[in-house]
Amino acid sequence: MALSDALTSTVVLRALQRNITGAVKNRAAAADPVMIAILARDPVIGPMIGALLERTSLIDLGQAKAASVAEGAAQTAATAPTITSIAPSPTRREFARDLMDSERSFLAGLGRGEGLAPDILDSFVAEGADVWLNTVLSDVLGLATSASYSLGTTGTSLAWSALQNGFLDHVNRGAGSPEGVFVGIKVKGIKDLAADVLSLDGAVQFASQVQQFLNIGRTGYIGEFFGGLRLYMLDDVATSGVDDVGLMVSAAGIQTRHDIVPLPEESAMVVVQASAGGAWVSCEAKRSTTTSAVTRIEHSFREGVAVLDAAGLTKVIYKSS
Amino acid sequence: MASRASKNTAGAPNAPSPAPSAFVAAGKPPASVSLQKPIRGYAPPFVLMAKADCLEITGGEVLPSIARIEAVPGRGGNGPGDSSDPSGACASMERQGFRRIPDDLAFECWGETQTNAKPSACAYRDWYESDRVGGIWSETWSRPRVVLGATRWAHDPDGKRNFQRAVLRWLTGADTVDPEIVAEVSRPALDVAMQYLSQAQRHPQSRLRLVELVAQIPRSVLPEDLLPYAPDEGQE
Repeated sequence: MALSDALTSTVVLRALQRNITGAVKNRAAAADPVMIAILARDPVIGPMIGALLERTSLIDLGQAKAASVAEGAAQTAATAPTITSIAPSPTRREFARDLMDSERSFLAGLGRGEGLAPDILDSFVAEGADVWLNTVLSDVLGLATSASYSLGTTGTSLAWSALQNGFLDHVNRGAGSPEGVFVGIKVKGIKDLAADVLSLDGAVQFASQVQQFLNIGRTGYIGEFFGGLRLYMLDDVATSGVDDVGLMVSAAGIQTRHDIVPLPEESAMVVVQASAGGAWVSCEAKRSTTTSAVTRIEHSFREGVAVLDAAGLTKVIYKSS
Repeated sequence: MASRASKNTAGAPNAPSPAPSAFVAAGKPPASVSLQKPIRGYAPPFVLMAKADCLEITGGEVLPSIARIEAVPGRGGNGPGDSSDPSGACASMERQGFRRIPDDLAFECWGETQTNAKPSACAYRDWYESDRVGGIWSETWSRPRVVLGATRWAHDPDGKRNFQRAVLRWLTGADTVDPEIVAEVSRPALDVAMQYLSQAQRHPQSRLRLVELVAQIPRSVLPEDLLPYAPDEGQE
């Protein structure tokens, strides 16, 4: 198909448009090793990427050293200080859109049993995955406002050294992990950091990390710094008063949980049905409640997010404007 | 109808012709455009929590850091169902030592005493109607408003600090925290400030940021080198 032909196709136009929406940034962030590790513990998504857990418990035996005891004597046992156990509650999430006339044409065909072309089906499935990703990331970032630990200072711009010191404190608490840490902040925080590195001394400015930072990519992934801090520019970062409240999180910091959504029988056509071996997001074309025409696309899933280890969460505070 | 009568009079044979300037002044009336747009966006209901050893520096003081627990089903330990019930997430925070701040904790904000005697039934929380179902729940010290169709936020940082002082009294029974704790909580910001200080002579940007940051750090812990960048005593 020539490019000019492609541009007349609704689906291709939609595909081109998708590349400039905020979901692009979230897709990049969702591929982060920390996010993957979090999702790997999810009982529904986990099996698809090689792990299975219904419930997660953390046991902290403390960091004490072994004591010297006389031969034949037993050491008195202290109570293990912390055992944390959580099971996030998956709740049903829905995303529904009534379709415009141009899109109804193929849905009318769908209602007559003519089926969907694979590219249209892919478009809806990809849209559902984006909706799900946006929701998960929004819920993960939304936990920042309840984090016990923080870096940065209210009412001030985000400083590069504050981020570095905060990262080291985060790791020093025992929250470091082989996956490194994930940091999501808004564009204002990224601008703060960019202005900050430009005021560094000349030799430091030309360091490869600084040059990498200034060469910001177009997906929202800014780069990896300090040997394990991966920085993302995201839209769904929380705010509190004059501040943005971004999130630094290790893989052990958060637990997600998904369940499969059963689909109602009255659905006009199931595009993707969730099943034991299939997707966790269902996408269905439904008849409108007010007309007999098929006019509505709904994506459904069940998702819950909770703090697993409070030490693995640090809120990133900086002045929002 | 006034407009019909006016039109008939103007069109009568013996009526005087209106001056050209009258046509210019009257012109074609613009389509009716209302500048009163609804506030845009959605923010879920929430509760605030705090604990005595979770502190922050703000405006030259050390005050409790406030945790916001949003009543989003499925988030933070909340169960399914009622979207205004944050009890699951609150229980999770209580296991970490946080306490739910009472709704009737009065404080000064926006020049008046905030109490729970208002529609939200909570001193620190307000609700605003918006273009989205559910509207916007906001802390009392942040108010949404519409400017030329865009939603902007006005903040009262002093009001927030008044609330944090009230929370400190509620948590500890004291108005201030121990000087050693002030020094410990201020340490990360002091580290950043000292780095800015080393660059402040060469870079105006660093100097501006230093002034911004030092204004938040308690004066009692500022080393002598940083005092020239601090606001005068009694000022923020």
